[in-house]
Amino acid sequence: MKIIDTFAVVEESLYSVQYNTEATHEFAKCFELWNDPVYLREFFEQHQEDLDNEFWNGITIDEAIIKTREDAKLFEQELLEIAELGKTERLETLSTLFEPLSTGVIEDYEKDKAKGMIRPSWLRIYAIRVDVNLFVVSGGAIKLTPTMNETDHLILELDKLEITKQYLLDDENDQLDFVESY
Amino acid sequence: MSINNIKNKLLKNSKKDTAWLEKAKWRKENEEWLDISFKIAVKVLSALKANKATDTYPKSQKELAEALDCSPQYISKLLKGQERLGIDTITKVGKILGVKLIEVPQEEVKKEEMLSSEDKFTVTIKAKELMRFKYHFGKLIQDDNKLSFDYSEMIETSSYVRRGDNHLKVVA
Repeated sequence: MKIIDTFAVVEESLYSVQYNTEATHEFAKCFELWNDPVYLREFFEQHQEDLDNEFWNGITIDEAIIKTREDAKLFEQELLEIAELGKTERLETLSTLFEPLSTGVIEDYEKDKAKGMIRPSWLRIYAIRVDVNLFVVSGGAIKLTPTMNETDHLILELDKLEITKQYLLDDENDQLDFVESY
Repeated sequence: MSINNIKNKLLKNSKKDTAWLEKAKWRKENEEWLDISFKIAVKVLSALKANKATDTYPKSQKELAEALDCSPQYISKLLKGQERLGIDTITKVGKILGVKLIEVPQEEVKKEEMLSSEDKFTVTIKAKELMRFKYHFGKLIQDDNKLSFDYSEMIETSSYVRRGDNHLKVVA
């Protein structure tokens, strides 16, 4: 998997990478999929066991599909608004939406996550934080499990964060951090 | 320094995604009907899944296209939840699958609010409507400020008065 392009979703603020395996960049792909009932049904059927976890309170597949889209709608609007606002406001930046992927040491160019709006939300956007209001989206996922290390599609997101970080650091001697939104 | 380099790299090399922005804008502008279209798609997919489990026709997108006499491509679009569906299509799909896909909320009329021939009711009507009213309903009684009529001989059971705004519907 390799990055073939970067896109400005909101110029000077929110960027997204495109991999050679995909037809579009990751930010657009996430919101396409989260608005696609056929994809969502297949996904929740595949991950029914995780959905049946008591944390999700007995939600049905139909309800999960509708919740995902509702959440995606709000999440998309919020990300875009904040990305725009963050250019001029110091207190409302993308950094208020994103948080480090894992707690602990905060590094430069960290791997971050942003979570959806309807809590508890399973929607995640993963990104590398370059600056307070400058993030590069590496991917996104529906995260039904407490950790990212148990499920293939989330392990892939961890790889994508690393690939994005390395891509940004390419031709650089400095180090970059990643950000995950979830 | 490295941050500036990365910023420059992003600014210089990134493409502007206008297609996505337009799509997001379109989703926002068409939010109301997209919500309905999406929920219909979810229900149709669920019904197809249930039919598959019980081996009931139609149990696939292909069979649904057959039953609806349309192309599989149209069904595929319908199931993406982004198709402007006509009421005829919605009701036809619902009938084929045996599920209700859309419902218009009905104004509920409570039984106790139905008029009976024992009720007496007074209405105030505009002068210009008076003649027509008189013509249709006959016995009209006028006192100082109000016009009353004895409707007991002419109303049917579907006549009712709506309590909130005193709207009177008389089916003669």
